[in-house]
Amino acid sequence: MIHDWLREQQNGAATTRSTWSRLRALVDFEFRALFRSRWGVAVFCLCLFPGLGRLVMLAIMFGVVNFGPVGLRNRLQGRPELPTLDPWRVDFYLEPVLSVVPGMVFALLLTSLVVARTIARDRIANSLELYWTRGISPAGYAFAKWLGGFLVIALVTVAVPAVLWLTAAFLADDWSLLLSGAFDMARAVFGLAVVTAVWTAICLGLSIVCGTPNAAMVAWSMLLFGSTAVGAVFANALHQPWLRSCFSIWEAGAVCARAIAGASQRDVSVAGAAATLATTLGVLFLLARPRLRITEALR
Amino acid sequence: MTDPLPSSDAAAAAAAPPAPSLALEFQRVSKWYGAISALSDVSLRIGCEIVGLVGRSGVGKSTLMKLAVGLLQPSQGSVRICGIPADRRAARAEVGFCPDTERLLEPLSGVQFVAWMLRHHGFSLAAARDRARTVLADLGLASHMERPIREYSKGMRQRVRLAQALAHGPRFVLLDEPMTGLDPIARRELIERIRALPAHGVGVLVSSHVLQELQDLVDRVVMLHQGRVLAEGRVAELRDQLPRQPHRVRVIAADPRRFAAIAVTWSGVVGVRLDRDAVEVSIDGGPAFYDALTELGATWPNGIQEVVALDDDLASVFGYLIG
Amino acid sequence: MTIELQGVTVRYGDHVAVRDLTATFPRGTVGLLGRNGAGKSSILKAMLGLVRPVAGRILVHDLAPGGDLRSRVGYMPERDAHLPNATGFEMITVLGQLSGMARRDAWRRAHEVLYLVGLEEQRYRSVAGYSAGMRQKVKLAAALVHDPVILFLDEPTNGLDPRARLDMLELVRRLGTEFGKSVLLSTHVLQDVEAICDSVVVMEAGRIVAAGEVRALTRAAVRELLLVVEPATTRLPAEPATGITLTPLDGAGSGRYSVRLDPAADPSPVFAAVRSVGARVRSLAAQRRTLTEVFVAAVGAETPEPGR
Repeated sequence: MIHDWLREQQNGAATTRSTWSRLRALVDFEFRALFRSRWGVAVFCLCLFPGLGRLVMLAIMFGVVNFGPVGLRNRLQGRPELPTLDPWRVDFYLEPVLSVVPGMVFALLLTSLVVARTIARDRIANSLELYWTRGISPAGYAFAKWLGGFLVIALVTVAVPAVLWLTAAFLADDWSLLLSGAFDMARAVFGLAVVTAVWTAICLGLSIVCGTPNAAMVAWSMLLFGSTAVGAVFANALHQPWLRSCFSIWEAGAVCARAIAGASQRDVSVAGAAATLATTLGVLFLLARPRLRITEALR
Repeated sequence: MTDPLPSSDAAAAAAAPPAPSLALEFQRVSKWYGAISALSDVSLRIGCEIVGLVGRSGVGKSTLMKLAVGLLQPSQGSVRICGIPADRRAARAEVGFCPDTERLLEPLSGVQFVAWMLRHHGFSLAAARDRARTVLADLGLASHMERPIREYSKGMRQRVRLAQALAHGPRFVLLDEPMTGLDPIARRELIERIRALPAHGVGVLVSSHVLQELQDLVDRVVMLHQGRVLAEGRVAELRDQLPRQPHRVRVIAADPRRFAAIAVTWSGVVGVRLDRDAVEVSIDGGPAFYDALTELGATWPNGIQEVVALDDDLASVFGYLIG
Repeated sequence: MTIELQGVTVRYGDHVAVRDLTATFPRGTVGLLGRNGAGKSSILKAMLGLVRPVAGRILVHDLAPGGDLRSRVGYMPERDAHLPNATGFEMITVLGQLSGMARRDAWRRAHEVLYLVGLEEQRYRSVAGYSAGMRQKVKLAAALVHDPVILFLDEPTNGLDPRARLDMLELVRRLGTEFGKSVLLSTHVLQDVEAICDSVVVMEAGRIVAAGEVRALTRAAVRELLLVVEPATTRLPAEPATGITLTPLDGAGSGRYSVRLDPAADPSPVFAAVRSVGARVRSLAAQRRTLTEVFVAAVGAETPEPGR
């Protein structure tokens, strides 16, 4: 028998499946988008550097490797002054992610590459028309894009600190770190996840609002740097350090994350920071919604 | 300035100097981009006529057009527009180019855009605006020409592109895929406008991928393949010059089986195929078949109803030569 | 019947794109024709469930737009559309999954359709680097991946060179004849429609102004043939037999004559007349109206193109 497999119909292969199972394909596609290009892999590896730095610090502190400044090696004997250099406190794990340098710079690189361009680029490639005709709703599409982007960013901002802490817990002489710090670290991971989700959402909102991928990237960089700079200027001019966290999108996120984690911080207004993030999200949501209607993309 | 637009007043056309016989001339032109050859040894002479430019994509058509407009310099050979080297400023006034791009300067209105292009040809601001309005109105855009281009439909954009190619009164225009995206009626209008151009002293080189359409529009075709001119001339001439490719003729006969049985005995027939109520005959190109067919048709009452050559069109020539 | 429209009205704000349209589209390969803004794409979008008609009912294969119908419709958009940052294979796989295919089904099927459209060699290359012809093919593959029974193809030959056009048309024709799909082909190139469509529907200003089989529509009112003789200088009598008139075309000496025959007349005197002057018949072809003439008659050439 001669098979003409092109003509052999395969009825029923395309069945009506739940929206979530179809969206999962899109999340998966979005998640892997960064790792498809060499550039993307390079940037991702670069973003792991702060985490690796902390790993080396841990190795030196716990005497796994025997080099580096004696001071650092001896830190463990008499618990260091700075909370950010004390592996027994969550600040140690939050610091590389939440600091302006290197945390924000690397996060900016990663978000620009993964999230900021994605929807603007789809718009230019007319992918939206392909999605809508397959019964993907704008809300589902935006959610899939957000989740895919969030998972990539969270690899750096959430998974890396968690892995660092686990490493420290196992390097320590006894189980005290594991037992005493587990609850605090869970809060820290939760805090990091929340602010990563918020930052990703803001970035995605910009991607919807902006017409071209490059415009979205520039707008996102301007928003992060600009708001941080404005916050710094106001805070210095008025001698009110807490203002910094009310202007800067990044600082606001960092403050919220530290507050959720219960880390030490001074001169900040958690309510102000939360309000800043909520306002930004709300404004972007209102701006983005009309830009992602089905008819809008079909013109 | 000559006025190329068909519906414009005849006075301007009458006042124009007689058009030179040779509007575009390529003399052994080659063009390389680095080591990559785009055109090699192309010679063309186009007068006041409509010439079609065909070929597969990436074969050097747009390079050829850009060379003719002076946007590119030939690596070898010379390109002349009305006798003037194409890269001279004086040549720019004699040539119009309608490129194959979707995007125009979106925020400008049709008038502003055409006037802006005219300013490059040395028109004063007022004259450019006047002329842009006249030309656009001629092309049927009177009611929309002050609106921004971003609101235009495809047909209207195409007319703006055509207007800027014709507005400065060139003696030669190059149209790159001018019919793309136009609806059937807009196509027909455009074809009529292009057909009228040679009568106004304007030569035309037009490219299109829709060969059936191009065949009815042009006087001659130039077929490009791998950067060379593979064939040039009238479609019927080209068909007859094809080296012994069997022609295919479809004959509708009252009794197709009987006709097939007779035809297969004729000299010059290399194949016969029955196809429902018709017979497809392959012949070697000589006149013998047609003589025998005429003889049979005359002596067989109601026998032969129709005789249709299947591969006399540009598409078949293209298929044979380029594939 | 494949598509039934009953009193469908589509409106964008104040602009009525489709007005109270009632029609039944026949089976087979159907050409959907009309000027820009005549309502073709609005009807397509309504059938795809992208816009909701303000009135009327649409049934495609007895299903209303959206829902179950989506997995049975394949749509090839007119504009260039692809997924950035994906290879051809990835793009087709993801789109198959979005249409409700299981991942492994989508993988297998993606290979099949990419082979069918002729992209098997380029399937692992990035779509962003595809040529215009390859992009058209990958759009068609995307429309086919979930094995739909009905295909909406919007200008599938746009931007293709002569050879690629032929290939695409042949592929679309095969989808209708060999694969048994219903194909709705929306295009401005009437020669394409003449080549592959069984029937056409012509729209104008949101209404259907002509519909029917291509053969029936292009049939001429009187029996008229085009005669080409060789050598071209041949002079033929004006009336070689009763009921047959010959009129030279393009002036004498072109070798082209228009032949008018009474419906039942025998054409053999034409051959006899040519033979008697020692010439030969090169062609005697029945004159059909071109689809362009049908279109112009239906739509009217004078209607200005509506602005957007």
